[in-house]
Amino acid sequence: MTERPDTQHPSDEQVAAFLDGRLTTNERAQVLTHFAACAECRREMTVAHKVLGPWRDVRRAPIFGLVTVLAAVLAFVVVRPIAHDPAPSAAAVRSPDRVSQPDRLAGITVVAPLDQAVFDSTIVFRWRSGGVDATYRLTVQDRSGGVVWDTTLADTAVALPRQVVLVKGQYFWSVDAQLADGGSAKAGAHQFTVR
Amino acid sequence: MTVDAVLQNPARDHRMADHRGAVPPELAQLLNGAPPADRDRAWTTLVATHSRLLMGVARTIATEHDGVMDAYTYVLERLREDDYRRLRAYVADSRATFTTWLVVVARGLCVDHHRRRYGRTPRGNGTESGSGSQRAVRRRLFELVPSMVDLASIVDEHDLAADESVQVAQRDQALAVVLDTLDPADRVLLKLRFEDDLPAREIATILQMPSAFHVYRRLASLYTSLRRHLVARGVESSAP
Repeated sequence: MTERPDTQHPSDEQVAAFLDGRLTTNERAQVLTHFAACAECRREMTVAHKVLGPWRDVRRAPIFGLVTVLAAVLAFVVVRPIAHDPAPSAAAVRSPDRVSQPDRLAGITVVAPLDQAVFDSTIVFRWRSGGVDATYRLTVQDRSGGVVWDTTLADTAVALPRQVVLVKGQYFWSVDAQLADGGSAKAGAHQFTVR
Repeated sequence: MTVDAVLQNPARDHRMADHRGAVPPELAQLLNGAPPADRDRAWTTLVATHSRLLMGVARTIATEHDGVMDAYTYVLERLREDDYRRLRAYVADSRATFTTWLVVVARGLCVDHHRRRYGRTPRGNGTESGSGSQRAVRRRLFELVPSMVDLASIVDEHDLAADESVQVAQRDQALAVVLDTLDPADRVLLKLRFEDDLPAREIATILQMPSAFHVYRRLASLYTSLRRHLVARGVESSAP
């Protein structure tokens, strides 16, 4: 297969505006058409993108830090009311597979672990399917909002890998789903404790 | 703040330069016809502010220290020549941030420097052809029709009999035709993923997709669509 670009090479100004998302719709389509056929321009664009990476990260870092703090605060505000059983039995709180009352939040039904679950061995995260071909991003965060593990998968259950060692304390887990129709769904943060 | 302190502080470097679509003050002072002494100061500030960035670009073209410094110096010379002609181009079209623009321009200058010194690279004509592209096509086919093939059935064209070579050519032609029907953004998505081997997260940033999830989702949709079109054109397998 041989491809030859049948459009002019974009100017430096156009490539830079493309990387910053500042082109008009028509101009962006023209540049993309060229990139699809011109490996050299595509390579130069991706190299520039890579060089800019650390600088873009620097720009985003304060925002992400703020988001993390807000997420931690939100988790506390949202999750604590969900802890609906004020005096759970020892058997209940120590069962990692307690599935009697699936909790449905914003489209994804969480099966386990539910709030107040306590673990001292393997942790298995389970949730109901969001539909055919849905993919899921599972995130486990500590109390400060720091992400201690995240993974992307198509299955609806996953065990915490052995190499991810959680120290004693409270954690939160959440699932974001990308649905086949392009939509998304979330299960809010759920708390569990490692002892 | 000393120059060294500036160079060790990319955050400040970025804050100073990253006013989207705005001309950095030192650049404005450099180009606004100020007295020579003021312009020299403005140039010194501009260089100090963006040296880390420019060194990062220079490292994309050379790995040894001397080579990096040669490329860095070449970029500065070219930016300064003809009364800052290139920098004036940014003022004329400042849609992008100055940082992004500077990286793109500096990278182009570094490539120019490399070509002057070592000549064009073999792939320098910008077209896509040859065995590398053919391998990429085979790989794409394998990715696109996983239910139809196993890895062992993907063959090396060099070992094919004449009639099989014709079938491979027809298969590649069918794929090229189908790919040409795609939206340009989808074609770039496939190229970035399967020819340039970029991770989904990076592709998402380049194509302004919300997340790597959306890249995977779009790829899955494209596979389904391409598979359907290939089957309609009689391509049932990547094997000839």
